[in-house]
Amino acid sequence: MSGQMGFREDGSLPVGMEEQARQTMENIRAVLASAGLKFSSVFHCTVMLSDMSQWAAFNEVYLEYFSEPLPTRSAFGANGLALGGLVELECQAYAGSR
Amino acid sequence: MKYAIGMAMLLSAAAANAQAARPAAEYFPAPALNGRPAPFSSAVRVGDVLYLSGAIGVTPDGKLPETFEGQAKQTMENVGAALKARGLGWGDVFKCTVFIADMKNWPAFNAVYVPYFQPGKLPARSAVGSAGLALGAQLELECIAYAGGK
Repeated sequence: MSGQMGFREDGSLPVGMEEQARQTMENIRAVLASAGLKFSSVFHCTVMLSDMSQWAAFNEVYLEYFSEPLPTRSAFGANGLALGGLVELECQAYAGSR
Repeated sequence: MKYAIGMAMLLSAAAANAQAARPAAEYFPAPALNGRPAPFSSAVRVGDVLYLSGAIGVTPDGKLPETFEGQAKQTMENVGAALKARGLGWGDVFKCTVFIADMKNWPAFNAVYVPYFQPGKLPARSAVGSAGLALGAQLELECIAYAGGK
């Protein structure tokens, strides 16, 4: 999947990490659903944050959306994200039958 | 001779069954990170590909070495251990992404990284200068390995 950011349907970007993280996860959920998949199909993610001091705050929201076992993951502070977003999340999901 | 052929057929049938029995995806959870549950698994195998989480240079006692070289070596040891835990080695790695907090350390990272691989068998790789990494690490390395038949 493409990296998702915290944009709402009306194109606005919520203020603050918690809200952007939540919207990002909702956007991921929507992309997964469009392919008939769920968070449990996700096996790897890359987290890009504009400020790595928000890593723990992002993790809290992120973990609300997954149940164990968790995907593998890498996270890094990015020197700028599109349109001034605080977070971008790229996920890979398995779409075959298990 | 007949017996030998029969055995070979039985063995190959057993191998085919083992292959078929392997689940499409397998998750291998990560140990706690600084006393808290890690927000990721250490590895996930999907089909014949093993995905590893990005590793930083934390030592077994949870500390980050002070120098970049120390962190780079420990990072490689940590990725090596994650591979070994799945019965794989550096020769199985085909793609890596390295995140380096200060890109002036790119040559220093390469000096540590390259000797872990056989000459002429380096994985494909991308390197990113990053504005901060988890726990203040100076580098993070994510690797993907071929796990076919293992």
